[in-house]
Amino acid sequence: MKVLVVDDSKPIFMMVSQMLKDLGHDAVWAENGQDGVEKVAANPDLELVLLDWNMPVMDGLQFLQKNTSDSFCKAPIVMMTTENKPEKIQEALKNGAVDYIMKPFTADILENKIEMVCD
Amino acid sequence: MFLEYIVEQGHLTKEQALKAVMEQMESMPSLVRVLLESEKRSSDQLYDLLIEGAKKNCSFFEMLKMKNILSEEELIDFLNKQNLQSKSLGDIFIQSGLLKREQYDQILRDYASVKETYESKLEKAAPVSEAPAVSVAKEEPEAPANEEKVESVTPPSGGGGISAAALESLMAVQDVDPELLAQLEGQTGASEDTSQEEVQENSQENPQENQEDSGSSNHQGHSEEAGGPALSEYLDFYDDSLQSELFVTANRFRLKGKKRDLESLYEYIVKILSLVKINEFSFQVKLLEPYGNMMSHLLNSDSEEPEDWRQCPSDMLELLWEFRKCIAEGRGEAQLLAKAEYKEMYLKNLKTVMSYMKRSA
Repeated sequence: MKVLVVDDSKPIFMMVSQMLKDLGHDAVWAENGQDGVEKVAANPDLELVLLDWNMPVMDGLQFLQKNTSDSFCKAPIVMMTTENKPEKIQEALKNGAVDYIMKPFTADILENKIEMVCD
Repeated sequence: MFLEYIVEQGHLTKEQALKAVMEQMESMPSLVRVLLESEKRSSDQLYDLLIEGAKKNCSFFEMLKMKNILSEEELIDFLNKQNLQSKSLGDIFIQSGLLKREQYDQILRDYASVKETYESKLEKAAPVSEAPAVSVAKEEPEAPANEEKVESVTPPSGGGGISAAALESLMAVQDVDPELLAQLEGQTGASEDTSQEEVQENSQENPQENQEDSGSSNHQGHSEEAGGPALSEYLDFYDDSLQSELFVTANRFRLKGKKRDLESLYEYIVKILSLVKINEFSFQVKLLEPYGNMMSHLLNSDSEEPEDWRQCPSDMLELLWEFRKCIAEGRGEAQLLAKAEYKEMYLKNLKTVMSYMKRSA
């Protein structure tokens, strides 16, 4: 499965990418929301997007909002976040995210989340 | 029955009668409270019973019977104590200026002469329960006849009707279309015989807060400041993390409609319901009870839930979380419902769940 990881931190991407690889998946990196939009267009076979919240240029919420209006991404979107305030989570869900994953997370947690979302 | 008679005779409108009954119900202490204050049963024992009842989807009253916690004699004694502490309908009618004392006495005398007709009508209309009917109204000691009992109408088991408690919630937040109320009133009989108990769980009024809230005195119900015997347990259990998970699960259920997600939601709703019950957060109880019933119904039936219902758990959770925030800030539930937007949300939620239950029934 091809997974787009949208995060402005390369170390985070490298860590998540390794986890995904260990789980038998391929990772594609986008360093912000705008880059993410382009990577989605370039990779129509994406099956999952892991989306960071705070990023320069276009943040995670803006990415979701753009997707709500343009429907450019058909893959389920999971927010990667450092806080689990219900209001924030709900905002993401209302804008089209399907789940969230708390950073930092382990490969097991990521695996469970992928199963849950892609089931 | 007396209330039916008084409305049919045009002495009161249906709405006035319902409000009076509601006031009477609110003046009645919960059975849990009566038992706790009697010190004959420990808080641990009562807590365990509430939790078990919530898990089994049984009322506290049913659990008392089921577990033989009280002998029938003791139970009747406690129910009498409960009744004695509530206002009589006559007092409510007179104090609220709906009727004059003389007028009321005359109505009672008139009713005594036609009593049998009305009672037989009631028997035909409602199936008789094995459970002892619990009087919602207290007897009027000074009245010429002791007939002003509003007997609880006990439903057939497993009925999917609208609970009286839920109807009362609608009334409590007011601004409800009277036609809707009248329509719903016709459906209240088919709830569990627990509705009586649920209603009794309703608020013990806090005069100070009522005074403060006089500007929005329309809201009734649990108007005390936030707090309860297990407040910290409630706040600790129902925290940010759980709510976020519940939001996600409800959202997934909305998108995919999988029973697995519904089961997970139901499991947590039952736990939260136990905690709001023991804390006597009556508005949350009245919100969660019908949702719990509906979820249980969906999980135990083979039929698919209507797609338009899939949004409901998300909406309910949004409101439930607002209640929780309100409680955490030390405010009572009623203060949340004093705000028009939340009152509307509350009503919308109840209407939705009632509408679903009506359809499924």
